[in-house]
Amino acid sequence: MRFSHALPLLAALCLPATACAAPSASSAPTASAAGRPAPGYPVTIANCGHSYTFDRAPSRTVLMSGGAVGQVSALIALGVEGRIVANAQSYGASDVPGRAEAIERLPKVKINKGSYDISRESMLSLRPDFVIGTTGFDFDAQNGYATRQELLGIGANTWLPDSTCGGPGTIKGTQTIDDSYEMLRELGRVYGVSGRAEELIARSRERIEQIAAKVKDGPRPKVMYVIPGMEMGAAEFSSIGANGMWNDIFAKAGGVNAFAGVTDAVFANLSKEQVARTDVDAVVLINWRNPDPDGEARKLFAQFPHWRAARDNRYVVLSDSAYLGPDNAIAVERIAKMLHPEKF
Amino acid sequence: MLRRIPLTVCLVALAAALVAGMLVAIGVGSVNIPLAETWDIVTGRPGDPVNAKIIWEYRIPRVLLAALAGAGLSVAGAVLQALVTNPLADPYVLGVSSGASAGAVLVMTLGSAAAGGLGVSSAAFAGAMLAALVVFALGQRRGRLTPTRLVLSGVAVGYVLLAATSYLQLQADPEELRKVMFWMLGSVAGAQWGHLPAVAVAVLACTAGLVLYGRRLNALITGEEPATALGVDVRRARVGLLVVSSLLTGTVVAVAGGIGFVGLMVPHLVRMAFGTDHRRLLPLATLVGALYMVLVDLLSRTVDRPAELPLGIFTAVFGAPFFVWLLRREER
Repeated sequence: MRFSHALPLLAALCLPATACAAPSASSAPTASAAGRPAPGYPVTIANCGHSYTFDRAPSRTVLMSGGAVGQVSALIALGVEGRIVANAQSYGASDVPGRAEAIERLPKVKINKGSYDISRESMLSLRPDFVIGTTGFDFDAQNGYATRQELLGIGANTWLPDSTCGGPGTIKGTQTIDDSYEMLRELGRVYGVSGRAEELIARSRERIEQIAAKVKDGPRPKVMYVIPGMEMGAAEFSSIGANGMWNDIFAKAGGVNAFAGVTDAVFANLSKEQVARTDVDAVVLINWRNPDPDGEARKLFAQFPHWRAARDNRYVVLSDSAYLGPDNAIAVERIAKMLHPEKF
Repeated sequence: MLRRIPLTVCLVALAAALVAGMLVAIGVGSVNIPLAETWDIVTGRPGDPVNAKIIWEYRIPRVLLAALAGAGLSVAGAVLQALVTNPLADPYVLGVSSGASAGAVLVMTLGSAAAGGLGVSSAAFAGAMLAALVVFALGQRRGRLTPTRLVLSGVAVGYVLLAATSYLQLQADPEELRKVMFWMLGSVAGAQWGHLPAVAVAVLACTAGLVLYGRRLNALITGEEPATALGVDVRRARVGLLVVSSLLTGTVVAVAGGIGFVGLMVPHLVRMAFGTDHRRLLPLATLVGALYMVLVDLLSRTVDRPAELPLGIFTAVFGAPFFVWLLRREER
């Protein structure tokens, strides 16, 4: 018997007995329990085929791990980090000064070694009213996580980027910088800070447009996007970005992904030979839990000295600005300056 | 010695230990809930709704699933050991677990379309059954099922399936891989009420049937000719036992993933302690297996609180040394 069925039954059994106290709904931090919606609310967000209604801004947000920091960065950029009660996103680097430290200061939560995220018991005991994940993986009961339905049962709404609603390997289309804006816009509505969200989006758009205008007519060097130390597959080079938000970033920065055509997948799985055969004019090296990203660049160029990138020693180390998150403009600017220094 | 104690006494004592173990496992977990409140929730008094959900929706199904998984794997191991008259036999050696893994990993990495629309659990079950069928077909020689052939076919099929599983894993992206790893190491962390009835029916019905079959199992381990002389249709018995043990393994692995070593260790442990008569061995192995798994699961979610660790790590780390100690004591 499921608990949801058992509860009414238990309640019915309780009724005749005077010793039985009535279950008090107010002890749950549910949004509906505390009466009328706050000013500006209710806000309803459509996410992954369901709609979620907020009666007030979430005050107990939990962020699940997911490997990257885009979601927690968005909350910090929106100025609502005070509403986080537990954050599992962190990898110690950021392209925004002070951001890594700001993430480090947030309340942490211990994650499972087996499945690398917050177990369902811990999740419920955090008593969240809003849980933000990265992909459908984060709400899959099979991994020992609380499902979106179960969280709704304790009054917690949930949110995922719309392109990664499904489980692993089910990314819809190729993300663009607009997906980052969409995340800011939706989270802005949830927390009642739409003005701030629109301001961030407008500022980013303006900065990116300025850069794109400067590099518009130049040549389009071929750029490699690589995350050293992250294994995405079996091949020797498994973390080469093929089809992701970085392609949009490169386009705005006046470049083109050298490996976009090799696969339809997000990451390319390539042997050393295949990598050697590709012309690479510049490298975007993603610092993901990497103690020495410059050393990684040296290693890469020593392996492929025939690349123009190696001859010119042309690379840039980026971290959280080069994928989903509030700071894509930084990536566009730094890549544009690397590819077209004469225009700046 | 424990061997002389009547079965009923052993059963009652072990059942009491199992109930006590399960109560402790419900009371303790990765999240602290006061024992008094847990008791209130379990006995149906209204408590904090979130804690009630943790206890009712998460812990109780989890503890029940752990008990059922432990019981099912132990019985399957005991039966397989009798079937192939080989002390090393367990669902892993016979290729059945590898079949389940291959099925589950296929769905996890390539999506359910790759397995004809089956979910992870159903694919695991189908994989186990298919592997058993192949092992069974290869294990026959001129219509006879011979133990040595059966074991060797099981090992061979297991290796092929392991290779297939490894290949699929290499195709996976990191999140899929995390999911696969988590599943392969075994866990009852995702237990849900909806999973329990099928497992409970399979484990209880198979065990009950096998206990009634205990005398013929006893005859079977004496060898093919003595068994035939004792009036056992050896071929039919072997087929039946293979089907039942595959069914048990498939059901358990489908919901709890690849939990190793239990099916090997628990039957031996019970034999050493309580004797080799299958009419004693099977019911006792059920209870010991259940208790062992409940305690292992409890450990897996308390040693690194509030994080949880996979079961497969603990079944071996705690089981193996104890097992070796028991073996050495036996030799003295």
